[in-house]
Amino acid sequence: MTNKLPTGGFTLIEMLVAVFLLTVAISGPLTISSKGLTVALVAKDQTTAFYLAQDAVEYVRSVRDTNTLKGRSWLAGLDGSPNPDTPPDGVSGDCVSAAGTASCYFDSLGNFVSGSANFASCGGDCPKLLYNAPMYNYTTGTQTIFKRTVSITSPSNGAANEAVLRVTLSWSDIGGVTRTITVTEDLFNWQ
Amino acid sequence: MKKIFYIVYESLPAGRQGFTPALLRAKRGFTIFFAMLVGSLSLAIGLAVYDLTIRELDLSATATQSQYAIYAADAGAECVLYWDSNYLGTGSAFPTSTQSAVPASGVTCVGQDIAAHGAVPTPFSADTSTWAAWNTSQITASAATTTFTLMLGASGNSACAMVDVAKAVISGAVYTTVTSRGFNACSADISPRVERRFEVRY
Repeated sequence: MTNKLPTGGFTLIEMLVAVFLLTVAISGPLTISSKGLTVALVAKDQTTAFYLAQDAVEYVRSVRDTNTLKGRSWLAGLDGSPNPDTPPDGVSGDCVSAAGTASCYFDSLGNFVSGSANFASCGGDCPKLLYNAPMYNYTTGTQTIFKRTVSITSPSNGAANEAVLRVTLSWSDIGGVTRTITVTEDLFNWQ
Repeated sequence: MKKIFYIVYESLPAGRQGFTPALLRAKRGFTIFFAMLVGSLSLAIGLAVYDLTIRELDLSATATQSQYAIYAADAGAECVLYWDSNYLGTGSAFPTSTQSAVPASGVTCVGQDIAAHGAVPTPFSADTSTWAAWNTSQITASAATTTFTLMLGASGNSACAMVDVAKAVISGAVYTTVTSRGFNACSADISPRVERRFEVRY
């Protein structure tokens, strides 16, 4: 008989198991947290994007309403035709085309985005918005990730008093994935 | 402890004394216990953070969908405003009473003839050319309600507006209430489905 206590420490196997468990336990949540942060940033960009889309839609509506109040053609300026309040650059019909090929850019601050024009044709690829706190615009500030494309077409039956307005925001998120949202609005020459 | 261990050891039946005593075995496994404890704690914290951010993404996605819905509602309202004053020149396409002539076709918004194909079918179909005429059954000698659905795309995922145009004649004057309910997705099977509503009175 012996009353000697076993005094051995941990075996190598025990240590390996413990280290393995701790590694899994710590790296898992860390990955999840990092993924969570990415998702939070995507959500932030998405929120900014839809406000920028809303901004463009409201501006186009205000131009239409101003045109009606001043007795001009209802899409004057937007379609490249002369508009003393918000002059276009007149290139390729600016925002308006039957096939939806024309696209334009403008900012709701009423800046001259190209020369002395409020509306400028994108010529296939719209520039990215600039950010000059607290406003997004096209003239001053640092370049942002957001590209805003505004396009106005007639509906499928070619009705002249109706316009389908599409505002597309595209951006490349933190993971390099290109994200897009498109807001569609139908405008009528009802006033 | 030593004393207790001794007793336990002594009390073990003959032939089992070569094995590790029960009390000694109970003292082991603390490493695993702590590893599990720390692991569970950090996993719980990680999951909580992840859950929060997923909810945040859901919220911003819903906000985006809500934009689709509100512009659909606006398109529906604009459609009514146009056809209430521009049908056959300056008339209204929407009936006011049983004396009104109700157009059977020729009221087009977004390429969809809402008079001829304005009633959304059950079960849902996105092909508006198969839809029935708009609903003008609620009509009396002094009031009428026209109901139609305007599709803004060609699939169940597309936004649409469900519009009621209620007209009433009160003391010779016509009062109109346009209620336009916009949906980000027209089919009720799509999730998330957001509804935004405009009401126009004049």
